[in-house]
Amino acid sequence: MIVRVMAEGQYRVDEARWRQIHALDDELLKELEAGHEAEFRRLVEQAVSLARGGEPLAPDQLVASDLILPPPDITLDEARRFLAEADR
Amino acid sequence: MGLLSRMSTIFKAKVSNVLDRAEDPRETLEYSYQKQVEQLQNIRRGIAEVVTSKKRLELQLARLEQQVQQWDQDARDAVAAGRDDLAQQALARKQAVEAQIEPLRQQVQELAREEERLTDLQQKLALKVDAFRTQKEVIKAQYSAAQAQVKIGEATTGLGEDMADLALALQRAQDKTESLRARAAAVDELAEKGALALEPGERDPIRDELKKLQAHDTVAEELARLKAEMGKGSGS
Repeated sequence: MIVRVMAEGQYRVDEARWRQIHALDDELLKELEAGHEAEFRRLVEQAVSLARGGEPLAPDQLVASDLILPPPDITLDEARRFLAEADR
Repeated sequence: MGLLSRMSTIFKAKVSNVLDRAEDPRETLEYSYQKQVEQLQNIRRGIAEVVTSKKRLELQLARLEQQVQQWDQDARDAVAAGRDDLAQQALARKQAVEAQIEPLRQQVQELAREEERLTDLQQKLALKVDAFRTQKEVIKAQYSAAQAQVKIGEATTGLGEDMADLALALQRAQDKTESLRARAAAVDELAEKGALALEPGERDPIRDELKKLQAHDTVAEELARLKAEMGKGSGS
């Protein structure tokens, strides 16, 4: 599975990591909606470091990603704005 | 659907906006390659603008730091002249501006990291555009339209993702630069006004007072020297 960390690059992750990252998905949304900045950022970092544990793709490889992770230093506010764009 | 799934969907929508889906990808390969090269150039220009803004902010910061030093020196001069009241005023100004420039300094540092990241992404993207150029030649030479469609689909999506990603990163850096510029301008204005809401153009009363004191000292010294020369020293 290919995971992209925005503003960073793509990683090929194995099944175990893929599941671990997905396990954070709902929790991340919950923290975002609750407005818990610290908890939210901690989860983002956790997801990003799981992706980084995979194998980075060489820059000349042109592959579509299966999942997109936000930039590691995204703030709650930025994440909200990013999601709001979908409604426009 | 969780956060990451939502973000992925939104991001992929951005990617398909970036891409031009073609009927026969072989026909439009060249066009799409040209477009990618063009976008890469736009991004380079965008990064150059961020760099310019950052440099301007650094200069502004350096100027503010100089003012802080100047007030520090003023305070020392005032203490030496036995004028604690003036020293206090100078220190108050120094502290007011110092408090403002500390967050500014941190943000300029953050912008420097942002610049580094953008440059790195842009270099990776240039490599990818180059890889795309090679692949398109191979695809044109070796595949039928139907096969090419599949082959080129993956490559264009991969590249489109990088384009969209870098464009978003650039936007982010530009937003930060913008807010930073406004903040720096406000601090600059504060410093110009001597942090004590002086009228613009009004001279700095602390420094004027110190100059007067210094001038007074030189006059007194000269008078003493004159008296000594004429044999009218204090002892005689």
